[in-house]
Amino acid sequence: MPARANPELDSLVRRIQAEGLRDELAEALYRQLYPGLRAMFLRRPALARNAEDLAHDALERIFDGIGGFRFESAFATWAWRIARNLAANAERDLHAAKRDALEVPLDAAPPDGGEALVDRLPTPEASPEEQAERGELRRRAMRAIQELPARMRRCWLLRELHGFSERQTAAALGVSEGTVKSQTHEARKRLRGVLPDLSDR
Amino acid sequence: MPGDDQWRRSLREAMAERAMRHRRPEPDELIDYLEGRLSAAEREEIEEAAAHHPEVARELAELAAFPGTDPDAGVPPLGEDELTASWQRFRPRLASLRPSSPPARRATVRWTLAHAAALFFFLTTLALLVALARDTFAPPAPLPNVAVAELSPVGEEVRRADGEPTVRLATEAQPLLVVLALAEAREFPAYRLTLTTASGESLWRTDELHRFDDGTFRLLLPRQLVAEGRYRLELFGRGDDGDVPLARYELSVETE
Repeated sequence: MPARANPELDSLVRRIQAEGLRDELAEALYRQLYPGLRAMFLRRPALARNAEDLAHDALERIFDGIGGFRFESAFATWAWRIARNLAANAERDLHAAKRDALEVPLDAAPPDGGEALVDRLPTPEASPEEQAERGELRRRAMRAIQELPARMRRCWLLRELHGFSERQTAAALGVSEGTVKSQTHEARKRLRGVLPDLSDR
Repeated sequence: MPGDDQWRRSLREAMAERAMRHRRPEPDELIDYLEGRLSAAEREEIEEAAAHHPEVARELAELAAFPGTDPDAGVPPLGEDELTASWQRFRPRLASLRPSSPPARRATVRWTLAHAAALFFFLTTLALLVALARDTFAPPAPLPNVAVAELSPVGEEVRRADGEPTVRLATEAQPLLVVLALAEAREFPAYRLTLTTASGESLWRTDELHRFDDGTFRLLLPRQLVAEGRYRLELFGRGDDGDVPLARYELSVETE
C-alpha cells in the first residue's frame, strides 16, 4: 500500500470506476480535490490569475483518466502529478511567450521620451572594500552554518532563513513538528555562539 | 560589528551561491521521497536540496498536504459558496467525459496498445544490444580536445611521485573523459556513479553506465561539472539486494 494511501478517497474512486461519473460521486470527488488544486495554481505567481481555469483543466484530465487508474500509487499522488505537469507546461508556455515578446534595447530611448532603461538601473553602491567585507561575512556565515549537524542545519535554514512554518518544515523534511522545534532551537543557540548579533525570527 | 540584517543578507547570498550547485529534484523524485521509495542516501539528497531551494520545500509541503491544502502557503481559503459556484461552472465539462467506467472496447484498445508498446520495447532493446556489441568490438573513436583521467580505486592505485591523479583542463570548454579501473570480478545488471566534492557535497550522479570488456567504465563529464578542485567518485553495483559499493576514486582538477 502506498505510504500516502487515503482509504476514503480510494473508496470514492472505486465507486466512480464501478458506477460511472454519476453527479453526486463526481461532485464529492471535485470537492475533495478542487481546493488543493486551486491552491497549487494560486501559489505560482505566473498562474495565479487563471487558477480556477487551470484547476478545472487538471480536474478534467483526472476525471478522464480515472477509469484507467490502477491503484499502483496513492490516488492523491496520481492526481497531483497530473496537475503538476499541467502547471509546468503552463509556466513553460508563459515563459516562451515572454521570451518571444518584443525586446527593448537597454540603451534605446522609450517612445514617450524620458530616460533609457540603462540610465534607470541602480548604480553599484558597494566599494571594493565593502565588497571584500561582504565576501568575508559570507564565508564566516557559511562556516557557522556548515558546522551544524545536517538535520539541524536544514531545520534552521527553512525556518529562519526561508520563513517556513514548523508544519511546512516538518512536511518537507519528513520529521515531526516537535523535532523541527527542538532542532531549530538548538541551532539558534549554537549560531548565537559564533554569530553573536544574529537574532531570532 | 555586523548586525542581524547583515548576517542574514550574507547567509542568503551564500546560500544562493550554494543553491546553484545543488541539483533541483524532479517532481517524480519528490513523490518517491514522500511515498518512502528512496534509499537513505537519496532521502538525504532530497532534504539537502529542500534546504537550499525553498521552492522544492514548498512543493514538498504542498504535496504532503494534498488533497488538502497547506494552510501556511499564504493562499486565501475557499468558502463553501465559492466551492459550490466553482463546481457549477465545472459540471458541464463532465458531459463530454461520460461514461467514464471502462467499457470492454476501451480495455481491448488498452491491450492492443500494451502489445504495441511491448513490441516497441523489444525492438529497441535488440537495437541497443546490437549497438553495444558493435561498440565492444570496435576500437573507440578518438575524441578531439578531450582531457582524459584514468583513475584507480582508492587503496589500489599505483602510487606515483606526483601524488593523487591530477588532471589539467584548459579554461575554454573541454570535456573530461574519465576511465575508471575496477578489479571487482562480479557483474551487476546496472551500475551507478556519484560525483561529490572532496567534502562530500553531492554534485551529480548517473545510472547510464556499462562496463567495457577490459573491465573499465568510461564516461564523459561536462566541463561545467568539474571546476578546479578535488572530487570523489563512488561506483555502485545495482541489483536485487540494492546498491553495493564497489569502489571509490579521487580526482583533482586544475585549470590552465
